[in-house]
This record gives sequence, structure tokens and C-alpha cells, in this order.
Amino acid sequence: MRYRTLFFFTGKAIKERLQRIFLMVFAVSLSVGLLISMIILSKGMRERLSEELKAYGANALITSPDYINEEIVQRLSGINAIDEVLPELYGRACFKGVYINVIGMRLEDMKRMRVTGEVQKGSVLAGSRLAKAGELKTGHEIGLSIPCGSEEMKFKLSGIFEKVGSEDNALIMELKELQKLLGLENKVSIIMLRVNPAVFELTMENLKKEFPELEIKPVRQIALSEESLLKKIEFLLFVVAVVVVVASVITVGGIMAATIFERLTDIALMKTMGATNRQIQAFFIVEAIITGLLGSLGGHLLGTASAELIALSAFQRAVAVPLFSIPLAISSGLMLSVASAIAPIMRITAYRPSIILRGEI
Amino acid sequence: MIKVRGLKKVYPSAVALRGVDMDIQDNEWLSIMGPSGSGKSTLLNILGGLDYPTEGSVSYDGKEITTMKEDELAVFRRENIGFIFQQSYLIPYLTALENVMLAQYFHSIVDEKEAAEALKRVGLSHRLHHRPSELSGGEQQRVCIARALINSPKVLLADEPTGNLDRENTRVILELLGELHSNEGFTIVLVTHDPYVAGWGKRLLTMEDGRIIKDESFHS
Amino acid sequence: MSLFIPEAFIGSIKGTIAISASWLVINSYLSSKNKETGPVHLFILILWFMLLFIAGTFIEFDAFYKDQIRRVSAYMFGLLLITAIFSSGWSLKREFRLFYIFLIMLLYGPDVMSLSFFLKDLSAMRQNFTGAYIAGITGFLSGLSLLFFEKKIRSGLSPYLSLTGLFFSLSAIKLLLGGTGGYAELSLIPAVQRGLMKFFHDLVHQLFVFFMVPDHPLLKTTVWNFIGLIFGEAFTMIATLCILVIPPLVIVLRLLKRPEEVPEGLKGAERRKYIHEFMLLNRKRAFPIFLFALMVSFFWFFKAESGPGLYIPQPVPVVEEEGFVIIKLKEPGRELGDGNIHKFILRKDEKTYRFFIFKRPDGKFSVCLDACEICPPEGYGQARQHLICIYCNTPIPFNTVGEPGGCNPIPVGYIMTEKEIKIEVEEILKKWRLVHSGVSRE
Repeated sequence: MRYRTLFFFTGKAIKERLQRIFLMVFAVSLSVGLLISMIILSKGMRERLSEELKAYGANALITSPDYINEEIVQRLSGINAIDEVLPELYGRACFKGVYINVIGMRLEDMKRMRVTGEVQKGSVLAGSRLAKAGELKTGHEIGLSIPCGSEEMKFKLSGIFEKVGSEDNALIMELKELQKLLGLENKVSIIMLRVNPAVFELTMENLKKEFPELEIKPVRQIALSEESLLKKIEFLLFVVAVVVVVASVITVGGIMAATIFERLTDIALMKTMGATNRQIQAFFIVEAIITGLLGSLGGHLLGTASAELIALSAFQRAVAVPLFSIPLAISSGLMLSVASAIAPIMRITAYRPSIILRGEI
Repeated sequence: MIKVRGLKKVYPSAVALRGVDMDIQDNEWLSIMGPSGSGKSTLLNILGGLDYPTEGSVSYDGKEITTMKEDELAVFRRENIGFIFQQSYLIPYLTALENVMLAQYFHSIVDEKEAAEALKRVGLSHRLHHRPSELSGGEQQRVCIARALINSPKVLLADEPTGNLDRENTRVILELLGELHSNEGFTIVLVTHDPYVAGWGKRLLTMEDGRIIKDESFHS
Repeated sequence: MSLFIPEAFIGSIKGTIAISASWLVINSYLSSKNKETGPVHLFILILWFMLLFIAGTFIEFDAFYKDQIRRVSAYMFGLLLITAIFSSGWSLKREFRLFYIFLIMLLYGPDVMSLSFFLKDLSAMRQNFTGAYIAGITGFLSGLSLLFFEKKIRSGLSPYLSLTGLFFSLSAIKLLLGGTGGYAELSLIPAVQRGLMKFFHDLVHQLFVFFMVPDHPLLKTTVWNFIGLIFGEAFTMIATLCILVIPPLVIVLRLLKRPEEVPEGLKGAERRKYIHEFMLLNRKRAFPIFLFALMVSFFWFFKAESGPGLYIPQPVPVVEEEGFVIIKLKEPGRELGDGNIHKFILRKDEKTYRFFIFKRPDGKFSVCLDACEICPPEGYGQARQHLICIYCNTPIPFNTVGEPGGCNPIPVGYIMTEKEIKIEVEEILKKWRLVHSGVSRE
């Protein structure tokens, strides 16, 4: 009841100078938005990066002039420092009179890909570009032959996958099936590894000793990009955030001070009515709280929107907005606006009403 | 009863009060006259607890207010004192009704019906939802009176309440004050330099140079 | 040898502050009813806790009983909360001081006992009796020093306390400071959640039983998935919040209402002042209750966001070599001494045996089964300061990992060389027989 009255009077005061309030809200939004987008991005980037690396790639590559025997996959899987082993077989097969790329993967690896549709045993997945070009839909039957014109093997298209790069043009099918199709039993073309970054160098050396017949190459750019890029971006965001926070504190504090000076007579008058300093301060605090709440709301929207935009352009995919960003936005917005308003608010108490009402200030 | 003893107020640049002693009875209408700079406004401010004296004491029914802390004074003011000033200070963005309700809010809680009632008593029932800028000077001052009396104070302190009004409006305001005074029985202390206004009181103090030089009572 | 063991100090100061604070809150409440407690009551209280402490120190309790005592503490807490909620409807004509004294005794008795066990364990483990007890007693005295501010605190506090507010304040104190090893917050929210999960589960099943519907064969998987939602983590998590926060908030809202009656004869300003003062008092009284709700929601958010909040690594398979399991201290990608638990799994004769190796903050390696003598073997997860039994949520302080008994993981003997840890397979098999056997109970 009493709070309702407090909000009522404050609301009246706010209506009187919407422009200034808007400016304060905007300043708070900007800082909160930056903070939120920074947090969402750095959390999202970490997750996404490690997911991307796990999904696609890998920080080491094993190739050979010839095909690689599949039993090597088993041996590699036994090594502790290797988190993932992804064997792939590349081949070309004729589809509707045209040769296309076909990639063979293990079923469990296929299941980890980003697929619209399903990953089923014995079915194939099409890259999005290929699917567009060939007007393929899930459920279609795909006949593959080697060479063109010979007897076709039929597969069901169960999903479309998205992947950056040339693989977008390819079909993906189960490794075993492709081996059968190509007549390359127990062979793979390439093995991708994800080696634990902590012991990367050591493991690479060991692998070279253990498999002299194979070519083992680190995939440098991915391995390096994991940490250093993230750190640089985070630092940059941090610097910008500090600048914006300082700027918004100055803005909000300045506007509050101006408002309070403008309303000095009103404040003196309230004192003659028997208002305590606390009661008067409450008006301005409520104003700051409303500003902070609106600002954090706007800031959260702004922050998530910008984070998503950046994420979309960087990863071609949205990042998850963590639940705790909401209380974080609210509390930081409130803290920002209340903290910057507190100094001018406290100054009100310094004035005696008699001095103001006599017109000496 | 208000007791004032040995009241002195020294400003850095001037001496406003040089020792004032007086007693004000309950339900009294007291006018204070004097040239500007004679210290009458300062006296009124100290009586209302808006300012502290340099020396001396002010007590309401035996309760000393000059030693109260600021917050205690605020509480004392909201329950015991109503103010009217020369300029009709009203909050510009609030309507007449809301201005009265603001005083209720600082006192305790708001009660719209009661506030409307108070405005009706000063003859403004048709002006409840007008902002101060939409009211005439006399009407504004009447809002101020309604606001000053909304919390049933014991004392009404008026500092040149008709200073900005023409004779006709002055008469209306004073008649209103007189009516409320006799109905509700609060004490009025009214500072003015206009003998016509001062004449409405039952007692007149004349001040000069920070002292009371004359104390006369009229019997009607 | 150190003469001061910080853990002992923290453990005892926390407990004592909780007791002193509860005493202060109760006293502030009673003083507003003109029922101040005297030094005699304080004396009884201190005597009681001293006795419990001495009993806990000199009498050997089984691990089973120790766990039961800890459990009683949790039940008391639940009881307190329920009382708090229902007390909003009570209007007491008389106040009995002794009731409240008795309440503190019950509420913190188990905590004091646990504290004495904790100090005893600590001194035995560190082989440092004086250090543990000097630190413990220092903590005890520092906590008691709170009582010196009683007069000041009491007058400030008493307007804020109604009977309901008192109970909620006691709950809040218990929530913040209760529990010797961990924090009560670690147990409150998961405990309520697990209770709810079981409740919903049983409710659905009982309904089916009641209507004599053979549920499982009749319903499709999708339907079950849907029903399963309400047994699930997310739903019960939210239900937990509602159950813990809505009752206090309802009480708060009720307190914020206007008075229903105003004494006749009060008019105008006087009437408003009466209403205002009435509401002011109730608002103050609502404050501790609101604070409690706020605190619980804060913990909840913390908990909800961090999920189980436990580090539970996948067990690494190991093999038997000539009767031993041999694990290298350092391997690429793994270092046993990094302060994390490392779980291993051994398969033998169609059965699996899980164990973990953990280097304690005090530098000692512990090899334990991933199970204890009491709970079903669901294993342990690692929190910031404790290993947590996944089944019963009992926190095990890091430095007691490797001590036998109760809900502690069952320790396994091992041989340590410079490079590796050797564990006899026969020992693992033998100790595994203790799992969930309740041996400590006999």
C-alpha cells in the first residue's frame, strides 16, 4: 500500500521528464548489455568451440599414401591421451549419372553430427548443398553405382547434415557400407584424432614412433585457436566493458544530480511537510531502481541479441543463453544505477530547508 | 503552549535574533510584524524546527525541540506543524489533490477521500484534478492551506501568506483561515509586514533588530 | 606440529555462532513479550551443550549412530520449517521460556555432537590433539562473544519478530550456519527435491494401483515419457522452490495487508497514523520471513544453475596383473595427485568393482571403494570442499577420505612406490563385500 503510493509519486515525477529517464535507462542498458553479451559469448564460445572441435575435427590427422588398415583405429582408441578417434573413408560413386563424393563414417560418429532428420543404421545423409542441388528430401531413395550404369545399391536418405566446407557437397554413409560399396573391406582413408591438448606434443612424438608408416600431422590452426583467440576476445570485451560502465556511471550520476538540483525547492518543501531524509531519498532510489530494472531488461535483450548476432556470424549457430544471465543482468543493472545515483541522493540531506526556501540557493 | 526562551540566532554575516522570549497559548492567533531583516522569518523557521538556534530554547507543551535530531524534528513537524509560505510552493507535476496527498504520505498513509474533503473545505472541490499552473494565485494558496492542515497540526506557521495576493484575495484567504481557526482550534503564528493582515490576529508582536519590542493583545 | 588447526576453529565457531544467534533471536522475541530469559537459562543451555560435547568426545559411537545423529539434525530442521509455516495461524496466550530453551537444545544438540565427533576425528587424523582442541575451544569462545552484544541486538531486533518470524529466523540461522561438515544448504534443497521425486513417483503408481490399471503394459512409451517429466529433475526442482518459498511468501503477503478494524473514534490524521503504525509493525515482522524466502531462492538458483554441482569422472578400466592393480602416478593426460578424484573400474569374474584414488589436501593419498557400508553403491562426486555421497548427499570432508566407517567411502590398503600405486585385487574383492552391508550397524 505504502509502496504503491511511493511508486505512484515517483511515477508522476518520472512522467515529467521522460527524456532524461530514457537517457539513463539507455546508459544502463548499454553497460548491462555489454556485460551480458560478454558472458554469454565467452561461455557460449567455449562450449561451442570445444563442441565444434569434437564434432568436426580434430587437432591431429593421420594420413597415408595408401589406405589405412582399420585395426589401427582400435590401437589408437586404446591410448589414454587421445579423446576421440574418427576414421573416415572417402570415395566417389555415381548418383543419377554424376559422380559425387561419398564419405564413410562410423555410425556413432554420424550420430554426433548436426543433422535435420535422423541417423539410422543403413541409411545415408546428404550434405545441405548436395540436397539443395539434387532436390533431395529425407525419405528419398538414393541409388549409387560404381561405375556409372552398373547395378545400383539402394539407400534411404534419412537426414540432411550441415557442415562448413566442401563436405557440404557429399553424401555420408556408414563406414561398413561404403567399404562394401567400394570393395575396400577394413580400409579407411584418413583418421582424425582429438588429442588431449595438455599432452599434445608428447603424444604426437609417441605416435610417430609407434606408427612409422603413417603420416601424422597436427592440425595447428585448430589446436592454437582454442585458447588464445578466446582470451584475446575476452580481454577486448573486458576493456570495452570497463569504459562503458564508467561512462554510464557518469551519465546516470550526472542526470540524477541535475534532477536533484532542479527539484531542490520541492525537496525543501517536502521537508517542511515533515519528510525525513530517508523518505525523500526513497523517491530517488525508487527512480534509480526503476531505471535499473528497465535498463537491465533492455540490457539483457541488447546483450543476448548482440551475442547471438556475433555467434551466428562466427559459428553459424546460436548460442545458449544461460539462466543465470537473468538475475545477473538485473542485479548488475540495479547496482549500476543505484550506485551512480547514490552520491547525488546523499547530497540532498546536506541542505537545510530554511536556506532553500529563502531562495539562497 | 509554546515557550520560547533566550532565543539567539547568529549567521556568519549577520545577527538575526538577539534574545527572544515569548509564550504562545494554545488556540491563539498571533501576528508578528516588523521591517524586513528584523528576524521574524528566522524566528518562524526555528519555531517550526526548520532551523536550529545558536542559543536558547523552544518547547512545545514542555517538549524541547532545539535539541532534537533532524529525523526527530521531521517526525515532530509532520505531526504538529503546518506551514504556509509567501510563494505558494506546490509540486508542479502533481494535481491539487495529489499535493495534499503527498503531505498525508509523509505523515502516514494517503487517503484520497479525506484529501478531497480537505480541499472542499477550502472551497476547491471543483479544482481537485488541476495542476498548480492551472490555478490562480489565491487558489494555489488555498491548496497550501489544505495541505498544511491535512494532518491536524497543533500549530500553523504562516510566513507572509498573502504577500503575493491582491486585497480581495487576501481577505478571502484570511477569512478562510479565521473560519478554520475557530472550527478546528489550532494555533496560528502569522508573520507579515502588512498591518491589515496583522490586524486579523488577537495578539500582535512587533519585532525590530532581532528583538521583540512590543507585545499587544486586542480584545474584540 | 601446529597448535592451531583452522578447520577445527571454523567448525566450532560456526556451531557456536549459530547457537548464540538463535539464543539472541529467541531472547529478542521473548523480551517483546516481557519474558526475558535470565542467566540461569543460559547456564542450563551451556551446560547441556557441554555435556553433549563431552559425551561425544569420550563415548565411542558407531558410525551408524553417528549418521543417525546427523540425520536427526536434518529432521529437526524440517520440523522447524513446518512449525514456522503453521505458526502464522497461532496466537499464543502465554509464552513458556523453557519451551524455547528446549528447542535450541534439540535443534543444535546433534550439531554439537557432530562437532565433537568432527574434532575427535580431526585430532586423530592429524595426530594433533592439542592443535585441534585449542582451535576448537578458541572458536567456541569467539562464537560465544556474540552474547556480549545481547542488549544492543535485542532492542534492535525485537520489533522484527513475531512468532512466525522467530521460527523462520531460526530456520535461516540453521540454514546458514548449521551442519558441522558442510552447509545445511547442501542438504535442504536436494533432500526436499528427492522427497518430492519419490512422492510424485509413488503417487502416480499408487493411483494406478488404486484404479487397478496394469500401468506399464498398457501405456505407451510416449505417455510414460510425459509422466516421467514430473519425476524428473527440472520439475521437482521447481516444485522444491515452490514448496520452500510459497508458504513464507503467503505469510508475508498476509502481513502486508491493512488492518481489518480501526478503533472507533479515530478520525482523520489519527486514524491514518494508527493504520500506518499497524502496517509498519507488520512490515517489520514480515521482514525476517521474507529474508528466509530470499535466502532459499538464492541457494536454489545457485543449486539449479550448478546442477548437481559434482565432479563425477568416468571410471577408467584397469586390469589385474599378477594379483595387483597397478596405476601409474603420472600418465599422459592424468595425474593422480592433482586433487581430483580418479575413478577406476575393475572387472573380474563377471562382476565390476569401482574404486577411486584421491590425494587429500593434507598430501596423503587415499584409495577407497566408490561405495560405503551404508548406502547402495552409487558412488561419490566431488564438490568444492567435500566428497558427496551421491545416494544420500552426505558431505565427506576431503581430509577424512580414507577413514573407515559410516558414510565414508570404504578405504582399501595399497602399496605406494615413487611412480605407482599398487592395490591387491584380493583386498578390493574383500572390501567390496562390506558395501551396503551395514557392517557398522552390528
